[in-house]
Amino acid sequence: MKHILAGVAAFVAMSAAPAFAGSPQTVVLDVKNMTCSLCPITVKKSLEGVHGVADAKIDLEQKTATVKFDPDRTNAAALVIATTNAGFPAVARK
Amino acid sequence: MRGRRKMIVAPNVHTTVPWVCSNTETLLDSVPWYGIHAIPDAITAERELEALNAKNWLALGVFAAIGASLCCVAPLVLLALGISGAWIGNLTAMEPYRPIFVGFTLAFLGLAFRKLYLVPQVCQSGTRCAGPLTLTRTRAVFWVLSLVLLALLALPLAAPLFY
Repeated sequence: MKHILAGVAAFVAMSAAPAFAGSPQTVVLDVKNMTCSLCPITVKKSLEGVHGVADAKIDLEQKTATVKFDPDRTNAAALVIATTNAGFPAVARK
Repeated sequence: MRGRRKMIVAPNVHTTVPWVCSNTETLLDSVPWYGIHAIPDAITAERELEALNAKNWLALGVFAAIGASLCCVAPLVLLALGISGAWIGNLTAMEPYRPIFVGFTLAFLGLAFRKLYLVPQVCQSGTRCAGPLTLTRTRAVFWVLSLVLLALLALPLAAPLFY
């Protein structure tokens, strides 16, 4: 609970000052179980809760999430863990 | 149970089993003659179904609506509460069964409505007789619960507004 709140706070602070340490990197995740209309919201929120995520775009039709993140602060594996723990197992496209 | 049958005033309460109520006297007389086992199973089943009152149907409706919400609303609620874990994947995987749960919810609400508005109120032996006040209160609970449950079921329809 505490670290999620901290994550949200960090995200808010970060979006207020969009100064990244490294150049943003983009990864496409194939998200499983994303079959209902509420699911993309859950996936998006879970990704936005990760430190270093700048932007998450969800495609319900293709069942993918396109995530822009700061490679110095997070990585694709952390994003996969975030959606999996929200109920949506994902695989990062190479 | 004897007392309950005597309370039935309308002659066509049990339309599906006309031989029960077409002649109440005959049935009452037959019990001492043949005993309770002479009553066919169909009537027993019907009576058990009738024994479920409006509150029972409402409770079943609530459970069915929760079942329908497990796949889609629940993960979002859990995320908002900060609860996480790979096990939530089991909930999201239940999405294909959602229509079944929605169907059951609507059916149970329909049966509760039937109990509250369509079927004449019958006193059951051994229970307190439902007075007009109790009935009014149960009907109010029915409408409030129906509204909440239908809103819960309709929530995913409104989801595109939040994208």
